[in-house]
Amino acid sequence: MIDESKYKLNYVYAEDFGTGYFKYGPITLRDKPYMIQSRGLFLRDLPESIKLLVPKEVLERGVVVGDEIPKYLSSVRDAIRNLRYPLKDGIIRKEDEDSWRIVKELARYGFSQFYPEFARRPDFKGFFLVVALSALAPDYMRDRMIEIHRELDNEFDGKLLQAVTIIDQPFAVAIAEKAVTCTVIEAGHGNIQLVPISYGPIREGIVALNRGGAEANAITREILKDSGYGDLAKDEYVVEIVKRNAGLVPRNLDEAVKKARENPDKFSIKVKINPLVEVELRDTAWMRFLIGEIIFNPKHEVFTSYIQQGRLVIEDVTVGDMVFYGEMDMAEALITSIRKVPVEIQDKIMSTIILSGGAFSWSVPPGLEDVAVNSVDKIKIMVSERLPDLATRLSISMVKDPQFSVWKGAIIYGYALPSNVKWNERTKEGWYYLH
Amino acid sequence: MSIEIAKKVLEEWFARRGLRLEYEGERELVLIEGNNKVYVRISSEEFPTESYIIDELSAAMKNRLKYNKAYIAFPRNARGLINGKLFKSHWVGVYLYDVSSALSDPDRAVEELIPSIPIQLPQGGNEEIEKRLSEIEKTIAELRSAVDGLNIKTLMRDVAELREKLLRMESTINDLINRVSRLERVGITAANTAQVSTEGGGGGELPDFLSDNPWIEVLRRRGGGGG
Repeated sequence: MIDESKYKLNYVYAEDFGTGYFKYGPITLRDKPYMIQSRGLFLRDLPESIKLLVPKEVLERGVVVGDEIPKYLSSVRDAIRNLRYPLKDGIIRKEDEDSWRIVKELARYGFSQFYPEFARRPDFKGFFLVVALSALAPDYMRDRMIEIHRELDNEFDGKLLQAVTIIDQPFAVAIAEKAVTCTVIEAGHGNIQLVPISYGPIREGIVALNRGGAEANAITREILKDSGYGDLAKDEYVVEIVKRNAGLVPRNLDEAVKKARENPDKFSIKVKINPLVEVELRDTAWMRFLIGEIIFNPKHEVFTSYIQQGRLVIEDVTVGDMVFYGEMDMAEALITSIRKVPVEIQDKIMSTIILSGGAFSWSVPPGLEDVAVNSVDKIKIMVSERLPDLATRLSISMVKDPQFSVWKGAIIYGYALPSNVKWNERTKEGWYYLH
Repeated sequence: MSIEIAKKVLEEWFARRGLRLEYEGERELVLIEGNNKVYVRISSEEFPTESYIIDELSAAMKNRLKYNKAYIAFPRNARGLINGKLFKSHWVGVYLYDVSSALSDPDRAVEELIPSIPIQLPQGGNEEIEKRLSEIEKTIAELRSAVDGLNIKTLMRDVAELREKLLRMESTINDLINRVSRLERVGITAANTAQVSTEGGGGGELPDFLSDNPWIEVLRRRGGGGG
């Protein structure tokens, strides 16, 4: 074990395939992985004269990632068609070969930065690789990930990787946060995952919500239209900035709206998009609270009119055998998730809740503390209303290092999971040896 | 549209203006106009794309220094697709030809859309210059292969990596300095700090986020051992 620990202190490598960024690197980076945007550019439609300038091996692979992208972006006329973000909501469709190619290129890009140095070390016998994927990733995604890394290992003459394992991103968060029994709520752009954890993820208890940052964007867009900025509402960049700056999570939506309507000056906001463009919400300032509320409780009647007019779509969808609930509020989702785990640990799992993901990052402007709250307090209020007994024992926290906690957790997992634990299809745990 | 017909129309038009044909290639004409040597590359593409035009231009540029003037001849329909600035900046001119009007009005069958900017060719000594040019080309090719061998990308990446490592080391050192001064403040002696052991022995110390993590023991037990 000492030898294994010693080896793994140098040669565990983790990859976190996030929707926005791909974080990667070996354990020796300590607490900060390298990161690049999770996207790839296909080298299609290149003029012949530009093709001459592209290295042959790059041209053969036909896709570039990371800091290579800007080099070719200006040359490609139809950049929008050729620039792809492969991980929509953390999931890649089985037949989406373009996305799989980008994922492989992202992994190759990462390894090529570290392998040359590691390969020179006499004791290096290949990395122990941990790949972090969404908890909602179907089985075929795990299989394909292993296959992709097997192919990459072959490209490096079978010397790159010793073994591969896959970990759910929320599980990695729990590990990085040192919480053995807890519920991790990961709120991403397209969906929200609630994963109960007790010495490992409890798959039966996973609840998925079909909403996230994207729905907050959708309601922001409608607010911009209602405020007379119909033209700017078409621009996703403007919508994102207004959401980040103007969005508020209400302590109680009805009370917050009432106060904002009575005193619009206090709640009005000017958002500067650039030196030329400024958005002001004054008469519609009360709507700022809808932006945050929709993440936590889209069932509120204020959203009904938007949905009836077809301006907002919030509905259940089924992906594989998993139902992604559209309207279920956060407290109900938490209770639904907890009900599916054994009774004797329900109390413990529910009392420690860890929030991660960009859709939970909301701040409270000074002076609005009486009506606006952050995500931690919002969930505390919602759960306490449903389960008053638990209110005093609830421990809810945001992850300390939202960007890197998944990568860190994956590194710890790779370091601690003994090498004699072989991959088990049922538990989805263990090392998958490539040789 | 056939290149052969276009070539004939252009040849006749040039002949009427007193230019003498010196060489006729598959898609090229070289003509003598007084003391000037004029190179014409013929394209039959009626709606050329930007990349096609760039390819044609680079083909015309290959031997630009051998001729006083150089032109590319496009069908008249291509008029709106020609980027004048691009051609002017490369000192290459453009002719537009119209095969259909060759019989009815031969004078207007060809039109000079953009004049080629003439360049002075050194009188005599052409062979010597060509020899020197080919020597320079050879040297450039050698240099290129030497630079390729250097693999600048990898070097740049290495430098970037080193820079990042240096920054990390700096921040680690700052961190350590802070810790040491904190420890000094609470009066913990060096002897005490030496007792802090790391699991891996001499292989390197545990990163902060690995220490005091209950998951290490939990996960280790999955191997069947007690940790």
